[in-house]
Amino acid sequence: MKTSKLISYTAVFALATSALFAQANILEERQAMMKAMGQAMKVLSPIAAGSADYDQAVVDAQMTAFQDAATKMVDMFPEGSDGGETEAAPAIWSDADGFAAAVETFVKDVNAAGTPKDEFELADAMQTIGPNCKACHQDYRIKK
Amino acid sequence: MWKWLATLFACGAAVFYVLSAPKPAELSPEFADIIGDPAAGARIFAATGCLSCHLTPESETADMKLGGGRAFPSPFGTFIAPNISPSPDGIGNWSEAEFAVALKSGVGRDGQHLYPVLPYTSYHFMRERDISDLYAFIMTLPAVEGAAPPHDLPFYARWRRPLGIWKHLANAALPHDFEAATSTNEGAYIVEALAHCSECHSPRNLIGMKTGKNWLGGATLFGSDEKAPSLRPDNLDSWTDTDLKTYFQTGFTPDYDTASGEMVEVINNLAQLPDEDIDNIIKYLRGL
Repeated sequence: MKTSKLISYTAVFALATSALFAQANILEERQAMMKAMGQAMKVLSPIAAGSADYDQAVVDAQMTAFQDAATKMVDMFPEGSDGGETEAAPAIWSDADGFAAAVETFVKDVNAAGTPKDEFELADAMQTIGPNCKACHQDYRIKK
Repeated sequence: MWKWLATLFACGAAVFYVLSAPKPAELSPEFADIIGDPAAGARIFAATGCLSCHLTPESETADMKLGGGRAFPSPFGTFIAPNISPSPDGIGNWSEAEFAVALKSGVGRDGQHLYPVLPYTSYHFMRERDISDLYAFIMTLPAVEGAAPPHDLPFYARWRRPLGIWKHLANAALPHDFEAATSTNEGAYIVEALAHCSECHSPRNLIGMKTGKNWLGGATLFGSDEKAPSLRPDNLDSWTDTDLKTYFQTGFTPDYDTASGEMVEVINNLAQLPDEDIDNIIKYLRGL
């Protein structure tokens, strides 16, 4: 009896803490994902504009930030992940359909951008992916 | 004793009556002779950002439908952007002078005060030439049928008369001589009179009036949690002029983060301005 109680307490405790950790982890993970895309934009934009040299290895490496985000994005904003140090706007959950549509557009645009092989293809890719940042941040991020 | 009180009350009421009266802006005698140029008005329209508030919700930005209907929640109730398209349900029957009076003094066609959700404390400093051009441009846009719903306000905010007092106080609280600044400094004119940056970036008091302190020093948007950052030099130090220009024209920060919330619309508008205007904006902000 005693042991089973202890086990159930432990189980509840473990569940509660893991939920807390999951919450913290998801914030960290999605912030890292966003930062990686910002970094990729920063590196790739001058290359696309011709003001930095084209290096296929660099381009391939940075493009993965978008491809990675495109696979993960849909799972990055679970119900309840609106607490803590986040700029995620409540509209993500209150306007779930709108948000899902925005994510879908992003994924579609990243796929359309593909894997650029020269600075012209890269410029096209940037033109395709870039507007998604602002479009989503307009309705679904709130600066605090 | 009662006589005194009654007299005091009567005097108070008289003072209120005089101070709260709607005072339509006086236009110069030359105003009627100005012929508005719609092409020049397109630039004013972008700088003032009319579209961002008055665009018919769910319609395409490119269609430029000024049908109104967007809701603006505030501590004083929810304001609804009216139809300002050139249809009879919008401002199609407004004369150019009525339009100018509304922008410069917040007095509507019916002689009543308009609510300061229309940023007339800023538009007050607009030049008549520009108002005329703006009017001409709006008249070229599609006429949208149907009036927007009325504002949804609690009873105490429905009485417009006290806005007359509000306007006196709001004008008195402005921190520097905008009349002089906006007529001599193009950057000041665009930032303060046209783009009305202070409406979000300057702090307000409880009755929604810009306090005049910490001008453009950052604030929380009235009726929202959204923060507008400081535009003062100490906060823009780490940004070069090129960084600022890129931001105003594309929305990307030096870190390739982007504008968010209301600022996205603002950037969409600013991006349409000629380079020279953006340079003047930056020059003015640097000198704050």
